Amino acid sequence: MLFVLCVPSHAQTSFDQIRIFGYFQNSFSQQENENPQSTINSFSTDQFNLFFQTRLSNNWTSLINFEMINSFSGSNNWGAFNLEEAWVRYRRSAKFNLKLGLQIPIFNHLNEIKNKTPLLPYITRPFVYDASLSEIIAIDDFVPHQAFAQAYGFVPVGEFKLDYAVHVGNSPNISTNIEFLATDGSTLIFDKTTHKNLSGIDTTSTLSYGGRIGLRIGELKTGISTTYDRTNKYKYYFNIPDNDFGLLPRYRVGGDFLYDWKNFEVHYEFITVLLDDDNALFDFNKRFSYFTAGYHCTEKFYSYLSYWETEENFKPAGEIEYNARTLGTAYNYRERITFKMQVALVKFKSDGTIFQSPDFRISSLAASVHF
Amino acid sequence: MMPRFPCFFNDDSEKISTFSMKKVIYVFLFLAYFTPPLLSQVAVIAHRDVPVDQIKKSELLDFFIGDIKKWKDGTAVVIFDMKEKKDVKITFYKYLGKTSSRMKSIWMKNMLAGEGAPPKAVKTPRQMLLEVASTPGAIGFIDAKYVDKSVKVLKTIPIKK
Repeated sequence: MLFVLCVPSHAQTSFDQIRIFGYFQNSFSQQENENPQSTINSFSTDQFNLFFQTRLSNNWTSLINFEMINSFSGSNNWGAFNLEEAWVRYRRSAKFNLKLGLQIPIFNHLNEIKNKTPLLPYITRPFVYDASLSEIIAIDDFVPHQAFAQAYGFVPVGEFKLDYAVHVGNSPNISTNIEFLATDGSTLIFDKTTHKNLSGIDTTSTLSYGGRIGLRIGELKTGISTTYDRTNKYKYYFNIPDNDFGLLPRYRVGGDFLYDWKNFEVHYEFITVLLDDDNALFDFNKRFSYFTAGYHCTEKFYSYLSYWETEENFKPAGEIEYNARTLGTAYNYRERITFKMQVALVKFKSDGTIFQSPDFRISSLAASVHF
Repeated sequence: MMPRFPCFFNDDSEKISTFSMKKVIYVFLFLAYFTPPLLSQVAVIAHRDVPVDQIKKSELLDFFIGDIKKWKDGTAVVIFDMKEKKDVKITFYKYLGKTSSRMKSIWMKNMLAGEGAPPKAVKTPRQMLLEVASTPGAIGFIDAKYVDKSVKVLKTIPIKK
């Protein structure tokens, strides 16, 4: 790893200049709540990403990606500013690429492009892929957000292309609060004395592993993704003793299916999250799926209908289900600007007291620009 | 005064010539109606030093969507696009099973994933020739009538109107 980090210092000045590019999306949304009836209007800068990329040599490339979401403002404590990616990649051939450093792991199709608003027709994205919903949905439970080493590529077999990816990263037990983590039991290797005031490090001895196997032929793309890690968040949420939930094994299984036929597109994905608690009293499993049918009315004009469904268990506290029926259009104006319109009907169902929300309709207009 | 038109026929042969002219016109119209229009072609052109003399459709697609980035000899593939959306461009991407907007979406996805920059888009066939001829590993497409010896033709695709 140290070797890899040394490579840029030599190559950067002698090979390629740094390319800077990015995109942002501004939107206006009106949310109409039922029971009790109320309306909220808001302009927002949903997303702003800035990339710095340089080709270090024939086979080496590096990229840094900064992301700001939800009208980021440090002075107002709005939104979030994140270092999303900082990696260097070695490309031997199409069959083998090795990416080292902070990166978004290859999981389902939408996970790769979830925050790339110029590529998406949606304004509000399918629940678990929308970073701007991270304040109300535990999206990190559904999709892996970070990896630190990943090998990927594809192998051509006749007309088919077999995609593969394997990645490793931190389990989600990242230190953000020293005192909070210091209360953990013997399974954590966190040392309060030596790591005092450090944050953003994994304080456990576990890692996250995952991968995807996919198939492409013509306009069909499909695949199965999986990850395995161990999380300690539920023991804190529910104040559960260490001997029951030291580090809860968590398995994610995802599937994606995309097919383009003439001007029609069909996208389907599912994610199942299994938290292996081995205890009949508790159930934290989760499930998500979405389906989109789209049509390219012209080369520039795209319309779609989409249905998203999520189920989260927090038993014994409760269970939440929510779904959205949405329709929208995207108009690609002058290549670099895309105008979008979306209406979504969101319905909640909860059988416990953990979370209550009225059903609502959200209508949005947005402009996504890349530069 | 009578206008002075050039005279092709002398007075004696005028009747016969008029009859012949009519026949020629009828034959021409007949041929024009039943003969398929002269087909123009898109030529897939590459730098003269690329290590192949012809290319398969699937290889061409792999180059243009960025799945394959090197020629067999290790030279980097540099693709060129046409700026204006005319028959040549439409035919080329249709041959690959894509539209030009779909290609742009693929290039943008690649760029935002750090997999490579979109291709340079040139304005004229002359510019395409110059760029492909002067860039090692370059590949592009052009109306076949503009091709000269500065580039290698790897494939031709008929333009169907």
